[in-house]
Amino acid sequence: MAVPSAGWPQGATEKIVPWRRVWGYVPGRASPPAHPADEKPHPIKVRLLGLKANLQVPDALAELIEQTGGAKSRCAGFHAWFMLENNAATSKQPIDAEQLSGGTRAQNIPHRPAFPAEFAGYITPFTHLSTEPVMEPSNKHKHVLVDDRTYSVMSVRNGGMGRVWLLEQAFDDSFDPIYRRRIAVKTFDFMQDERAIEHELNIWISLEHTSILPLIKIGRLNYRLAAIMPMLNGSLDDVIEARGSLNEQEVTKIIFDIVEGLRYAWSAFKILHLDLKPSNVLVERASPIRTKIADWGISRLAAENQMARRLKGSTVPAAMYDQKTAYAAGTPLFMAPERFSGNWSLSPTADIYSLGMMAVQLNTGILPFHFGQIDPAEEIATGSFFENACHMLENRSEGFRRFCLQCIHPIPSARPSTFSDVVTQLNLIAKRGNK
Amino acid sequence: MIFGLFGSKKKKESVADLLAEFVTYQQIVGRISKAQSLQKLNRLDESQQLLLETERIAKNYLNQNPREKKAHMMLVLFYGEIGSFELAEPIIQRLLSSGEFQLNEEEKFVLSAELQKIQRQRPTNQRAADGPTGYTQVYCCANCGRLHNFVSMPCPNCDWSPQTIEETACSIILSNSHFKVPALLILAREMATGRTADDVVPNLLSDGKTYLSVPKQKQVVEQVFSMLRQNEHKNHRSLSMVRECPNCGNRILFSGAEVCEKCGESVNWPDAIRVLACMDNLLWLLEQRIEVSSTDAFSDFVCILVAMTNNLLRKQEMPSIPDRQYSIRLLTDMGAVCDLNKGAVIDTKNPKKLQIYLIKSSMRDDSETFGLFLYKELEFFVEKMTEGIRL
Repeated sequence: MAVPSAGWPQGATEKIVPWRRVWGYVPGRASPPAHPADEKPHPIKVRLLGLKANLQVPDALAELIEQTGGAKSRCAGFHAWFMLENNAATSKQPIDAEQLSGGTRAQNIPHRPAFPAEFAGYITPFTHLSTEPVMEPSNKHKHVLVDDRTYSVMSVRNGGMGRVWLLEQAFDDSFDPIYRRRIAVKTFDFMQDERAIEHELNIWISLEHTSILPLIKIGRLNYRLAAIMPMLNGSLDDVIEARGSLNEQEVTKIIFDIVEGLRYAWSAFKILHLDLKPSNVLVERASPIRTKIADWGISRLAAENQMARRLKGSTVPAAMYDQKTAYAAGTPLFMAPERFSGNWSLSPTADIYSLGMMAVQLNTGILPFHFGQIDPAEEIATGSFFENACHMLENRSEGFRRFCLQCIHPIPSARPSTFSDVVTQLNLIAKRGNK
Repeated sequence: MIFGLFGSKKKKESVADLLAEFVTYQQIVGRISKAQSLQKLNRLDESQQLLLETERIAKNYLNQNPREKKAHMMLVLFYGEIGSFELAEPIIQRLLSSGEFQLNEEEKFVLSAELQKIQRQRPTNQRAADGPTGYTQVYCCANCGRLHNFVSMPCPNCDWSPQTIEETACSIILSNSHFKVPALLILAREMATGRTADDVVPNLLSDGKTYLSVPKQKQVVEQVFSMLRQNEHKNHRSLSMVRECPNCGNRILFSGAEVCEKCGESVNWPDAIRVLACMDNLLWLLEQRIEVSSTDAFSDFVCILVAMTNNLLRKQEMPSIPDRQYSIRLLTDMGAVCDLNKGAVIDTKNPKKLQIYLIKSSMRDDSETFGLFLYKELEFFVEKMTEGIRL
């Protein structure tokens, strides 16, 4: 396993851990930032995907963690740091590095304390942490049992809250509408909280829309709970990786598909997705592109309704359908700034912001942050990312540019307030494009 | 109606296989699967609603095509999937007995097997006098002696499977269709001491030949043998695979084990595997240690344990609510289970409050060890059968 050459400095330390890699330094830096106490790396025990490993961090950072109890943390900028705050120093327990290793979920952040600038370079920003998403199937996992069927493992993608197995029938079984020749199966191995799993499944199974990835069946994979779904052709992340960027028409079509799914979930059940990002939008068909929304793991109910009552009947905790919430789970780069405040009202504008960010990334190939130069959390806090986006979209059509900028506006009230508003705007853009 | 669009040469083993290429069936299966998923999430009202709608679809189709055998089979499949066997039974009987549907041999074989399964799965007091006995068909592996209930698959304990038609006939004979369950337990116990099946059962080989001399029986054996050949290369789960320590390969003994006794690695089993290990342990205790009783409750308890263990192992199918309730009732009916020589007795009259008694005068050296082992496993079994297995 080699360190990718692009952007990685000489002498960057790499710690190989099962299925993941954790790099010690920010790409793009000529050298690690100097610090008087930083001569030897300091080993910290981490538990990565359930396995014990050691992460090398500078002595000074380890000391600071010890002294501050991890309080000086950054909620959005650096996952590793955030993770340390939550798990390591305060509890003296081995660090749970699931988030570090690409879980990309920051949970229950009550405040946004300052990140010590001198250490900004030591922890890899989260955008680069999930560098090894695909686990090659080991001999042990060449075949798996899905309910009563045997499947060969094509690949396994590790997510923050579980794994997605891409499987193909090992034997020539007859056609079955549930156990198709190729299926994708999500397992929840990393999630300890059964209620959270139940919550996700409850929401997912209720959603039936052409723009939403269906949950075909709740079954078992090797005796563990599993959600069986159709296998699609990768995610928008793969599209960006393959093509770099997409033209305005394609982006408009994708966003239109997604917003239709979101509008349905909102109007039918008052559900918000809250973790929209290219890797959570799967591609059903490449040309013309057709997408489906996946991963409702941290979605929330925004109102007391029929669904909430159903969930109340189960063991899902009340906090999961609170209207006002301090809950800040999500992928920080796609999370609206107000979501870091600790007290924000669930509304479609949160998902609309993520849609806007996706539109920018899909159209330009990058997100409007200065990675490696300015901490993204700072850009989110100050709103400077918005200026970056203005520059990045300068040459785009007026309608498309205005749409993207409205969606990602740092102030929620400046964004389209409903999904229907977004649809209307997208229709206008499409009409202008046709003319 | 679309039949035979995709020809399949695969041997058909179930009603679902017979209907696989049928569009309405696919809709129905999708709905049943969603309803079952909703049940798992405890959303019972919605599940019920969906099942009612699905039943309506199947019935409407039947009303439109009353002479179509697959329309009847679809309803059989629906009732079978939702556990309403009493509704499925008359439809199968009509399909089998009425000449109007012109079933082929494969269809007759599958439907007869389904009918027998339904008739077996009735509680003991509701079974017809001329019907099959025992909750399920139980086979004693001719190689290792452990009990299992899929003769068309390799033994879940030793992976052995019959290699000839004659061996297949002997395997079929070593079942509760030919022997009482207590006799099969004695056979298992004898084979564990190293004796072979044909040594314990006199004339087994010649009985196998006699069995094959009846054309209809030979046909069944050939069907089973063909399924065995079809299934043997498939990656079936064996109990040893599931129960082994991922670190050192040691067999984890106790269902509640937290760490491997050999290497100290923590045992991170999901609830399903713990229940599987528990039922396998209980079955082993029934085969090797527990005083064999001739009551129907005892036999049915062995059978339901075999069925639940094998369904969980092979299909990852959790014990259904009726099966769980029935197994608890059987424990109550049994009254007590005793270790060898009645050295340890567990009172099961109230399964939720099991009591263990060690009888000094009858105790052997290992009575306390095995008695406590049995008690612990039974306690866990009762808990899981009462509360269900976690998601």
